[in-house]
Amino acid sequence: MDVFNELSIEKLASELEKGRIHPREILRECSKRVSKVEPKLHALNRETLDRAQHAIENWTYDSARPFAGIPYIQKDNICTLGVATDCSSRILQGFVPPYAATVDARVVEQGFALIGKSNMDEFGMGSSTEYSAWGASLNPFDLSRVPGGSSGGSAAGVAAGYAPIAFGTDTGGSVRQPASFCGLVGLRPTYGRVSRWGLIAFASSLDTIGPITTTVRDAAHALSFVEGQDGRDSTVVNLPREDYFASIEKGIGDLRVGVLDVGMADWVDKRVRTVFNANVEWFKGHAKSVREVRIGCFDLLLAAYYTLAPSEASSNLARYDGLRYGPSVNIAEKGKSVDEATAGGLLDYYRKNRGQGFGPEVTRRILIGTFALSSGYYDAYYLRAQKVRTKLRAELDELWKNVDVIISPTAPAPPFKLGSALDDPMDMYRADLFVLMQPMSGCPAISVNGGWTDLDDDGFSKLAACREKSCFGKIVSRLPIGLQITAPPFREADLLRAARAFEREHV
Amino acid sequence: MAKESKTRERERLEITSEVLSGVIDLARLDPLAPGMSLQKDHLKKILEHFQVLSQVSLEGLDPTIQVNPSPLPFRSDEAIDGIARDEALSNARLRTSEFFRAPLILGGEETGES
Repeated sequence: MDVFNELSIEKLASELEKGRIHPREILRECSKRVSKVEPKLHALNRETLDRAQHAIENWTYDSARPFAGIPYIQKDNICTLGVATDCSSRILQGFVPPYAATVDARVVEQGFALIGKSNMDEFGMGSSTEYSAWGASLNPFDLSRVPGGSSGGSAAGVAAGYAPIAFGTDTGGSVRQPASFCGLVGLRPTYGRVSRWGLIAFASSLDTIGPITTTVRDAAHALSFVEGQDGRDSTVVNLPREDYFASIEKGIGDLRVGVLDVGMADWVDKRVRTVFNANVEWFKGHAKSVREVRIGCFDLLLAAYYTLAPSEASSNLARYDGLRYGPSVNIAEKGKSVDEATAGGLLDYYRKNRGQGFGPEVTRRILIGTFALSSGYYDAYYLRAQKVRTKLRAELDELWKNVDVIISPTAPAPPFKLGSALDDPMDMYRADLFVLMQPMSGCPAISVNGGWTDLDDDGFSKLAACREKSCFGKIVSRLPIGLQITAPPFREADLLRAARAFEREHV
Repeated sequence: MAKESKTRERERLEITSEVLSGVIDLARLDPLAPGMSLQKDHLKKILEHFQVLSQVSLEGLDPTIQVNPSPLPFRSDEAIDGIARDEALSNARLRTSEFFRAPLILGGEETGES
């Protein structure tokens, strides 16, 4: 088996244990791919190959840290000690965190080697990575399409074979949707499983950190070593450690599966419907029971989420005023006369810095959030959106009495063309329709590859950056379509075994 | 009467240009930034779509602020290491030995001076 054809942390760890490979060979292979493909793909905001090299310098195998020496990618809104972290935003350009996020510290403690900080939609706001201040990342399966977002760089990097694992953040689908668009596994843990300390905040009651991997077992490993109590994040729930591997291969013969019925109307692409219908048939042949389930308030979720998330973002991003960090409008030096840039006073100075520092989508969401929180509109928008959250949780609590997991497509369409969803912001927001139920309720969810599109409308999908066998071991000319599985809060064990059962028969 | 109060509610929530200008000001964003008039158009359409929230009954429901109960656990009352001053100032564009240095900004709307 050529382990470099299908990178997986579990497989690499096994090879390292047996002494068949050395981390420097892994790093050499991954570096080759970065050099070859990154000029086209732009998955990374910065490469940290020297740092990775240093991390593996004195490597010897240690069974207590079986993944030591394996490369990883970190999303650029997760603080990495001494490595620039700018959320793909001008307003944080040049910011180098003086501390590591808890998640990153735990990954480093396991001995992983950071290969790069991944590109993203600015501050996590977007579903395509096109809203990065540093330019879009591309989809390795078709360079004319998006890799999804906001963790598009993480997903593109893993799909292109830069590393077998990346971390992303999922506020409104931003781990699951890019995983779906890049044929990968993306896990959004239950809110409160994984510390958010060191995650540069977007919407604090919705943000989670999750892994993007090539296999479900790898996602389970990743969750095992990043989750758990953290004295720096009081929203992490104190729970006993769970061994996901005790049940992950158990199959789903005892699971009751709910199929999300949203009418599968015109807004779901027929290729997605075809793949999802086949997925449903598979579950019918393997699960204890399969039934359709409806979420009564499903049609309100888009409005509610896009009221709540921007509201929280408007508060979280109020700190970015250009005074402390990042570039700013020219300022006067002490003792010299005030220059034009600051003649309008402090508020004007803030406006100019923020106007220059934020991109269009961040600006738009700050405006939405500021509006929703303002006097006269708070009750009609923000408060009502919070009540929709309560309604959703009540409906799900009822559903969970009769089903153990709920399945749906991850995205209503295959990866879309670059630029196709930028004219009308609502087009981009609608791409999130299936991935909002989970942040609004706190439930965990995972996206696995459900299948592939048929040939594209224009005859064929363009072949991507990775034609060689080293990218997934196969040449592909179709687009991936994700299957999403959702579970009740803190039931990641059931989530992972359902995903693993499906993956076992489909990869 | 119910129909009248719904009409009044709709009028009250109408998203006018003045409302949008007020929001831009509250958000400390630049009204003269390129693309801001397009943002106003987008915002109006988005917020009109979101008025679907006012079309359903949410009577009797409490708002959900946090999905998990928040016990606000206490830690022991002991001093622990934090980030050192120099580390905290390491990204400052301007600094003194101890503080971030702010630019010299005089006058402006908040002081009433010209």
